[in-house]
Amino acid sequence: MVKDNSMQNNTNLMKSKKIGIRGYVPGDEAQIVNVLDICGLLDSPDKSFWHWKHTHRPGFMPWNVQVAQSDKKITGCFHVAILPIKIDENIEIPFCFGGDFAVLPESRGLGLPREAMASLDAYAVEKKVLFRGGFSNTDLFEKVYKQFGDVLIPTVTTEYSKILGIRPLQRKVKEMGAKFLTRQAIKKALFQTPLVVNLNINNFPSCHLICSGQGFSLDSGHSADYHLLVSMPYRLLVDMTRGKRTLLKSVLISAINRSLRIRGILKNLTWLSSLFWRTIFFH
Amino acid sequence: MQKDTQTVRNYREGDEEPIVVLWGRAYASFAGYVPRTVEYWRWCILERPGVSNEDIFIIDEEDKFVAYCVLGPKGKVLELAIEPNLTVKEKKNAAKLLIHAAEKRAIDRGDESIKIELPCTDIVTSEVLKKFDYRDTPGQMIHGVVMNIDTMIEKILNSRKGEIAANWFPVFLLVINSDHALFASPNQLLIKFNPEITVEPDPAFVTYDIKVTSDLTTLTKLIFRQISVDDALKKSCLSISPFSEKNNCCVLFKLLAVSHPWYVPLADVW
Repeated sequence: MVKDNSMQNNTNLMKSKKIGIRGYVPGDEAQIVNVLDICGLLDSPDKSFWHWKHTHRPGFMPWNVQVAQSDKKITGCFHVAILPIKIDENIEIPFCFGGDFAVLPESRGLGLPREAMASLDAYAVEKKVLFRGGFSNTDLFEKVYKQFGDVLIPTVTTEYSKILGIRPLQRKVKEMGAKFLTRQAIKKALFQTPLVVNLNINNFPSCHLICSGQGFSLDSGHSADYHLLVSMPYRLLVDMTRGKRTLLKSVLISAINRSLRIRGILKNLTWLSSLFWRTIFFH
Repeated sequence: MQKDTQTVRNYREGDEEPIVVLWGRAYASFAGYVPRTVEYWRWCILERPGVSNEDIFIIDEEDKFVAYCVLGPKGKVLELAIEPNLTVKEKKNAAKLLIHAAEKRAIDRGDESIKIELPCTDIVTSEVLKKFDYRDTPGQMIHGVVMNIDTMIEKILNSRKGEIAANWFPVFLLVINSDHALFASPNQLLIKFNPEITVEPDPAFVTYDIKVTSDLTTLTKLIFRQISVDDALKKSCLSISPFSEKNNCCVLFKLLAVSHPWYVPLADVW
């Protein structure tokens, strides 16, 4: 293991707090899962997932999991997996993936991850691993991994995603409401009469939007008491995340081809007009 | 293969072998993933908590696997592979059937969203996903550093033996400056091409034609084509002595550079 001065200081600090790093032994699982849970890194609340991911993995060795222990309490855990990776045509190498590094709050600031990584690296070098790394994005890499001499390797991987239920949208609706309600005129108008909009979105569960002076919310199903009924293609939900210009273009196209329809405007014209003017002209 | 004979079924015992073979064919021109074996696939997919036979969708015809996908927990599509030799129309149809089956299953399971990661160069499936109103964003990246640099270099060069000219055999001394690495690495590597490709760490006796000085981070970047020899020279993280041998140095790093684009399926994201 290559040590520098800061690591030596951390080692001394660890010794003074009687924290040591060691490899996994059967029986550690409950405490390890607890540490991951407290640090918000738990994939699943039960030990069976942890066992599948680690001890049941082909090629697992106990040193693949390092724990930080003080007295009999595990205060940190650090996991790696050694798997073959194809790096180019006809070239496969043993790759050490790191992840699930978690340290309880009371044991932070002692350099435990760096100490554990050095220990894991020593094992990996001995076992002839040829590449050590993990999965990342640009921000995380700059904040955490670059200091270890790591290199960011771009991939051609693209993520395609689609919302199937309303829960992922509820937070965004709440945030949108908080922005709108900074205008006192709108807040006052919506306090007096909350706006209720039933939504029919293609290939999406029916839901309704409530815009009140206290906040905006999105709930499942249709409300019996509503002002507007909006039918729209799912595409508009996607385009809301793509900027105002794309959204406006999408709205216009949908309006022209009648995939976007709004019912109830005439019935509530007076109140909607008042709300519209307040939105534009008053703060 | 007629498009209207493609139907979707669920996984059956014994499907593992043709599945891993199909995966290997579908992603032969990519790197960055764990090469599928039956043992790995059984652990990664069949034994994964939250994945049942009803979450694995297969399109086959007359015992030939055409396509498959696996829906994992929380709506993540762990793998999706389509036979590369299909026509564009057949590929589109297979993609539509699989995506529709995965979405329906995700909705039935109560998943709030569905996520698939595919190579951006897969235009056919990408078009199908966009028609299904999927939103696209950049996917996973990998970070890391080369360990056991001598073994790595020897392995790569030996796999490229056929590309090395018979009369090209300069002897390189690669001097590696220690940087942030938390692990020890050799200080010097002696790289020879004649009679065999050998990479000797910290050689006792050193006779060489070209001396190259760098560090592990820069060497990793050169191998993974994140920097060129010229840029490394400009940034002073690479030096060549004598400088007249720069072309030979470029040949060496061209041999070491990986060429396949990297794709990481969600099943491998650890």
